[in-house]
Amino acid sequence: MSGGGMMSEGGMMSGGGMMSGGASMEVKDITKRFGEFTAVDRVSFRVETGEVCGFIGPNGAGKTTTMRIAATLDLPDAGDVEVCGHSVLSDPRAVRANLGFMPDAYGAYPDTTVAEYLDFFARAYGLRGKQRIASLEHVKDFTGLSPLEHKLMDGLSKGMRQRLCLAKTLLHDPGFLILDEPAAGLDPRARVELRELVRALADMGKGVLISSHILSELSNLVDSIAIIEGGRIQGSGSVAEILRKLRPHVAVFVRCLAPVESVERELLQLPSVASVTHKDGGLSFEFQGEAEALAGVLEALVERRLQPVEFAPIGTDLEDVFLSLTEGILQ
Amino acid sequence: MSLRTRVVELEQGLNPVLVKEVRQALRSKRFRGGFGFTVLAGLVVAISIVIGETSSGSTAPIGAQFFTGVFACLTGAVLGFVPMTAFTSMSAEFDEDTYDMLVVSRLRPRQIMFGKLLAAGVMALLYFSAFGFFVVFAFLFGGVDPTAVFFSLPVLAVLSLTGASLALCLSSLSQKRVVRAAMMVLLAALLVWGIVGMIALVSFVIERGIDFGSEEVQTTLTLGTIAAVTIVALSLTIGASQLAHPEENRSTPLRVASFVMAMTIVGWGTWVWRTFAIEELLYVGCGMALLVIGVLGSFFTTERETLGRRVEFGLPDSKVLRLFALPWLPGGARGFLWMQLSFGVVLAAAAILGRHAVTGNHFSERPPELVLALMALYMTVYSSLFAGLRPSWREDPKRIALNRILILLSLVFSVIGPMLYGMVIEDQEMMQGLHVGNPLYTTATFADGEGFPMPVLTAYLVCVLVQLRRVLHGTAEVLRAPGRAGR
Repeated sequence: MSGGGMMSEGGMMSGGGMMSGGASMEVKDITKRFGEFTAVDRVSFRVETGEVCGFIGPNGAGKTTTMRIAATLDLPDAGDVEVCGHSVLSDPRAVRANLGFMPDAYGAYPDTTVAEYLDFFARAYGLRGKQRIASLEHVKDFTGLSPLEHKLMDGLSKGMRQRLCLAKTLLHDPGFLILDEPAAGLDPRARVELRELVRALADMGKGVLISSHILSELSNLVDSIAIIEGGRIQGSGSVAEILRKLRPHVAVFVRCLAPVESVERELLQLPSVASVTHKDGGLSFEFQGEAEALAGVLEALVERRLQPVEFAPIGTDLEDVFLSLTEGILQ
Repeated sequence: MSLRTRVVELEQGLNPVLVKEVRQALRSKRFRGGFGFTVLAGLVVAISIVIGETSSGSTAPIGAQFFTGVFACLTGAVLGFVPMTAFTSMSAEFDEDTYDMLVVSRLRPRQIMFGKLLAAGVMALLYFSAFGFFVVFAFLFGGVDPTAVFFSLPVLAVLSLTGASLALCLSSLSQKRVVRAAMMVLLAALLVWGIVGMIALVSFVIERGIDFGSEEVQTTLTLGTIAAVTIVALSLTIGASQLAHPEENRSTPLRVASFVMAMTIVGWGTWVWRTFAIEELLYVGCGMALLVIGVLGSFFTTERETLGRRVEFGLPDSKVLRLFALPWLPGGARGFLWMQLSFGVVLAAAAILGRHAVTGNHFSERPPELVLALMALYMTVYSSLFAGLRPSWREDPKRIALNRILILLSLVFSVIGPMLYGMVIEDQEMMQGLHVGNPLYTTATFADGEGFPMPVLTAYLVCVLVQLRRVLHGTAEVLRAPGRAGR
């Protein structure tokens, strides 16, 4: 496919225009100022091939500015962004050929059907002849828009419009996707469907940078996150990596049939146990040892006839990570 | 190759924006309504004329009146509705948030502009085809000069495209709705003026006829064609540059187009002079070219000073090539160089071509190229003085806009200021505008044999000195840029 994308005869989209392995997108120390106001301040992070990266931050944190820079719509005052190995500064056309950008506010053309809308963008991406027809068929099938192709855009639901915009974004089979708040305003079913589509795209080898306010949506989808606040990256990397950094010790919840006070007393006598607190009729504590040693704690509770009925590490979700790393700075 | 294959290939190669716009227009209520209304209006006017003329008992052929009546309806649609649709179509790209999606596709700004202009052409064509049968009836009624009809229709088509390109240019000038609303009012005024003028012209031509063999008609048609082509080319270039990102190179295509336009005007002057032996027109052409360079150069000299990061990476690696490219690259200092270079080329053309003048119809006591040079000095002073004086005014868009307004104000004040001062000191000549601050007066008196106005030369030299540091900075910036090798 011209423009660097590839679409096989069978119709499966691959990570078009990708380098084999390595970073799909790398944000390198970018800064963007609007007059006196610094919207993005020395932001750096990378998204690997086939990875979905959640870009999280409060309103006005600099998410959209960063995404617009990566999509060649704005230029950084300092730093650079590379998409599939191409610089947004020196080679914006190559970046555009390898990039699919779904903005948060995208417009609809009045008096245009779904098929005409997609056909226009297929032409705009330089697709011709059989290649264009094949590409159109594939994206319509992939996004489930085939039955709606003769429907006017004005009559589409919000969810269907999001699908249409995603379909438009995929037409030239880009190697990297930037999706700015794609789930905003969608009903739960549409959100689940969108999540499945994005996961399928990542499984095809495409890198995806996705921003959303709905952190619970992202937690089941992303492989890595980048948290931005006040124009600065507060943390980035795989979710597990960040959790390890945030909480080097495992938090554990335990509930026993024995009185809480006696359980608390026993726990405090055990090695590697700290910060015991009352929680939901049981106790939570921080365990500072290795995973094998944690089994020893349970064994000790049983041996001392405290009758444990619940014993589980406390999970940390994206919301906890987000709240731990950000301070609620408003810009 | 079969016809079907050819058609399919042609369809594949069509401008995507053209395809989209035509599809949208044909389905839109506005176009359908406008088209129906225009045809209906044409029909009503046609029937009214026929009934009016037949009931008056006159036996004279009514083709001329019939044609003029329906032509007025056609003009209203083609010169009013079509350009306005082009304007709103471009505005909608900004208002409906579709502009960003066009930018990240492989479409280039000039493709977008050209596609929208072609779509306007298709719409105009539909109107023309609908009015075809009215034209046939006009001939059947008799009394209409075919030459006049074959003059009117192409002129209207050219004017329609010119209006549409102007509309696209005006709507692309700003993404702010307030500015675009003002542009729409300006466009509407221009179109009304154009419609009234066109109807008046065609009424005159239908009544008096037209002789394509006469010098006046040939000169006027050539001038009109060049003016239309120039407006279309310049509008599309300005519009395309506005659609590009501010950090992209918006200036070079405009500078090239402006230079080509100035040279075309010089070429037109030369052609008219050689064809009709009217030597003055050579210098009129050169004067018009200087004026175009002066006006557009005022924008270039007041551009933001820095190259932009993306432009830096697009520069050739050879330092010599960069020096050659210097006047054509974005930035105010380099704009000053462009203006001086362009002035120089036009003045050189006037001097060289003037040597071959044989008719001796001099309108000036002085060598005409010197009179033209005086014009160039004035324009340099007005356009570059403020840009050179305040370095801080060269980066902030608001201050750049103010700078441009100051250029206009300085021109007005240099004429009116001494007049007011003349009233204070009761100097009759100054009160009447007969002073060195008035470029028209000074140029005219110099052409009539007065001495060269040294204050203007002094002001020019001051300007050049003020700009010198800026130009050196601008040159150093280009030479220091990373270029293609730095990617």
